Amino acid sequence: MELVDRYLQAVRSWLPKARREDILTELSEDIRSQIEDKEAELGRKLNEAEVEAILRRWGNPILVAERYQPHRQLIGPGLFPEYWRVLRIVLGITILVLAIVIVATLAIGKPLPKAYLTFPVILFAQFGWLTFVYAVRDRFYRPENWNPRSLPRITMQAEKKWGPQSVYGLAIAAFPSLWWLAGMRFPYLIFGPFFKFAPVWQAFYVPILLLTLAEIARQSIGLTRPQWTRFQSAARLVINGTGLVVCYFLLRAGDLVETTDAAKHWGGMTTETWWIVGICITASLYLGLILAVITSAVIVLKELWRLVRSGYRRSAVRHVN
Amino acid sequence: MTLDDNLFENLRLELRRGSLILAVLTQLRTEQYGYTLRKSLAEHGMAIEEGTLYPLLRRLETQGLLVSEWREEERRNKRFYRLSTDGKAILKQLLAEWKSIDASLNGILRG
Repeated sequence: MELVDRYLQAVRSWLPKARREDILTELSEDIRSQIEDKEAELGRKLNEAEVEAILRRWGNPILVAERYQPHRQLIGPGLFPEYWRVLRIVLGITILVLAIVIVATLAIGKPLPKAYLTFPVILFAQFGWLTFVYAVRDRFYRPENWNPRSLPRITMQAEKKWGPQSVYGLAIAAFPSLWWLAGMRFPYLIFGPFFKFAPVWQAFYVPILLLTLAEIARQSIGLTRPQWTRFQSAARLVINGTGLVVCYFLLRAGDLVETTDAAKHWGGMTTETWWIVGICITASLYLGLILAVITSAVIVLKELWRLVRSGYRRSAVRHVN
Repeated sequence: MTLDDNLFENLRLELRRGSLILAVLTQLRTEQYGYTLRKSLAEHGMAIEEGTLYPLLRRLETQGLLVSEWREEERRNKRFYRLSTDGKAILKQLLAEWKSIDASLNGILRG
């Protein structure tokens, strides 16, 4: 019976304190009754393997004890979907930024500082804090307190198209591009007095300028000649394809920014601090370039697929005629 | 176990869960202790795991549907359960509901 006692002891430690002995006596009584019945059926004492089989059927001691506890959860179903979404976004962004910082550091030929080894700790800390915040929120969250009138307004899916839908929208879209192009000539517009673009950008100034102008022209034509769908497809394909090539060379370039003479002469920060600020700026630029690559690649693939499909349709129509 | 088997097993357990409470309450119109209750349920084709029955009995008792007392029988202390007055009333309502569900399902099945 040693196995039975060990089993009961294991269950005991997980039972609610107030009813522990009461529950344990009842479980013990059932297990011993089962063993006695089996022994009466076989006409002999059960061996250890047979007792083990009975206990196995009872199940894992923690699970057996857990069923006596009231239903417990850290984050309930009313908040869990939101918690899960926020967790994925926060961890996803952190991993992406950290990856870019590491790539940028390696790309400019610097060794990775030991501080980078603390990255997993940052991720665990984010996970821990987020879980803690949602667990606390869950204590006060009342899913039944909701009102159909407080739900978000309907988003018009049909109106959600890429690109501006009006002259005002076009101006809004063109402004960052023009500001960026101006910034390449006058870097203090973007970085302030202490940083400027690395020389590699100068080589791409004209291609980027042409691409920006082409995109503004395409959007303008889209406003005045919305029926020119094939032109729009072809223009999107060419502009984004060329953009991918430019991004490819920029991503391979290494240093994307450098300090200005003003930074060298200003004694407010050490070389090490300038280097860290430079890494952060480079990481942001790499992040921007990677996002541009992803967006352009998706557009190129979408347009290629549209071309293939329309070509297939045209040949099918010719075949029918 | 294949995916279909797993799916069936999960749905079967879900279907049985409510019926088990009905079976336990019905069986406890006569006083019994856990072990004999489990055996009698199994004999009627409603086998229930040990780890499930006892927490269920405690829950039903907390809800006021069962009453229990410790008594010595065959030189061992056993906890005997039986339906409370509230339990009897609820059982009556649940049985009526079950019959109504059964009739509705039969109607649906007949088309």
